[in-house]
Amino acid sequence: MSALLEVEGVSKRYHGKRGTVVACHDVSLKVEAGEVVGLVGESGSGKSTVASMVLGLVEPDEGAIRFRGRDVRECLAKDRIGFRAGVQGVFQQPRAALDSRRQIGWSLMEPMVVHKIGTRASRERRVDELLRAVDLDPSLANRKPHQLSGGQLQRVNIARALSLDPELLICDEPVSALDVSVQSQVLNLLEDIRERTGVGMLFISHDLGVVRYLCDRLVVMYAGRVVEEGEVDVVRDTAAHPYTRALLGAAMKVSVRGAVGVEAAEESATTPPREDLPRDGCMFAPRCAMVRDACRTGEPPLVEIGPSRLTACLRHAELPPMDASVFA
Amino acid sequence: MTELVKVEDLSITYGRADRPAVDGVTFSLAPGESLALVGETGSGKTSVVMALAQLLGPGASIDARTMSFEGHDMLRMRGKALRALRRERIGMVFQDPFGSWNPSRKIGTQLLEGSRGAERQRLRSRLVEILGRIGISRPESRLEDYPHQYSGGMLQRTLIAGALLRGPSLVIADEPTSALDTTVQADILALIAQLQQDRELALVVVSHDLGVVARIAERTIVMYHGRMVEDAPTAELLTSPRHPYTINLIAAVPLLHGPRQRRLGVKVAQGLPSLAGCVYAHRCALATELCRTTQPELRQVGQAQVACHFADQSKELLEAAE
Repeated sequence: MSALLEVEGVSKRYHGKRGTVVACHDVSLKVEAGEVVGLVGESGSGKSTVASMVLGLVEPDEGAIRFRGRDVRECLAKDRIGFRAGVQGVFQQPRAALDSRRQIGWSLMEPMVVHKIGTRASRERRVDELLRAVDLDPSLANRKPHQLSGGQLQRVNIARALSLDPELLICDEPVSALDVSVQSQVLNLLEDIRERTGVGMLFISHDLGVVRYLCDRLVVMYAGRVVEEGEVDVVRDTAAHPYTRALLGAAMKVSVRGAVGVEAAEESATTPPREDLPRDGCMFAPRCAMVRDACRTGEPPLVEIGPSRLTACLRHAELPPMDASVFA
Repeated sequence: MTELVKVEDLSITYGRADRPAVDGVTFSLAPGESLALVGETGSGKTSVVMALAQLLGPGASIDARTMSFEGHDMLRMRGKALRALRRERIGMVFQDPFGSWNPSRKIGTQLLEGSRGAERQRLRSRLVEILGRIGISRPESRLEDYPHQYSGGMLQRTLIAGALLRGPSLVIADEPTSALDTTVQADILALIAQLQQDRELALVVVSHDLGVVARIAERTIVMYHGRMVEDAPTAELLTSPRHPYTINLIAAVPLLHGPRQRRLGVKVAQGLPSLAGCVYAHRCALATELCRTTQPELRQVGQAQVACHFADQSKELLEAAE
């Protein structure tokens, strides 16, 4: 039985006036049916490029993406409609994702019209049902996007993504634009949906707290590469890549708990790359405190260091133990 | 010790709205003190600081018993004197690092706008010094760059440098890091905290993010629907919140550590609060008839000022209600 989603050795380069940008390089990841996988990293790490490729919006230069064992390119060529019903996206800007001139009900019905599902009456019933499923009043179907708040609109987007009963949701920073209290409601909703429908998710975020709430497994990207992978709490407690540790350190510095409990831990290498990335070796080397000569030549391989636990750090075995008292 | 900022009973109404956007806000700020205003979208936190700097347009009617900054009556400041005061004494940093700049003019030109001759030279060398200190490499040549040549984090740092340029006594930062990545966010917050301490600046930071607040503010005011619901030292507020809204807000933050959270926050009711009673009554699990009819005033509970009829026992009552 193949995984719900398999991304295998995928690379994407963009060619611009000022040279070529490697958006992602040799990225592999898997989402099993019903699993929620978090993808984290800073802006420019290639998270959204991966999302766009999985959705079939961007074609990879190399590698393969398979949905239920079938290549996405093939799915799009032979059964575009079926593929779209199976994989849906929720994006960061709830307002930009909806047609501002159309009523909410129309936007929710459109996928059913395109996919020729049901009659007019049954579609209307379904819109009602969908709005209720995301805790919205069905009367909102007659409103236009400008009459709704950001949190309400994001619920509408989630409802629309669910309208065709997809097996996989690609969520690209779905709560980053929302307030803490609104964000918590949308996260609760996603957790409910996941329990109720068993939909698999690839959940992109830069907020590790959010990822921990929702995800089973975590994939960390840096400069277009996967640098670490594992179960969320395991990665948190035994991060095996210096970049992941920097990310955890930064998250802790801005976490409620961090500031109250302990004063910020050691200054970690959290300054984002100002200088150009290295041409060879580990992309994190210029920012890494553990760097040695071997890190600067040849791409460090992603090695297995435990059950479904990967790291791309040559020196992962030598990393000091994480200070539990600082992170507790 | 005189207060740097004193605001008493501030209310702001936009246009012909039937309810004020901000109602009865009272606080003061000593020189060098840092204060956070926290609340969700629409809670009025930005309106408060905009009113303080007299940056609200004619559509807003501002009413207050007192609103002073450095002894000036901000309610009556107008024209040239107001502009000079804002320019020299108040630094401002806004949320959107890209929107804060004119894309077609050089960074240096924008930061030194309005200064001439010897003063311009003096400010320029000061700017170069500040930029160097806050981690912009080759600051002299970077002043000749345009905004698109900077990253978001750099633009935000540069904006902070601009806010500090003329040696203000107060810096107002409205969601200074919300548009930035976690790692950059940590950097910028550390920078603001450090500058604030080094220069004895007073800081008012507006944010919906409790993590941000925890990092840089000594004191925090929580706002809900235009009213202050809690005002306390930040550490106190985060460890033992008293107002049910504050408790809810803190429970809404997904945590990286500690036991796994099953639900975030508490279920939220729709609709607007009543005009008569507590603004939070329609969402509050503890609300009684008293809450719906009588507006609770801020009162001292421990180290905090709390506007809740049940402030002394809110935590126990909420736990019992679950």
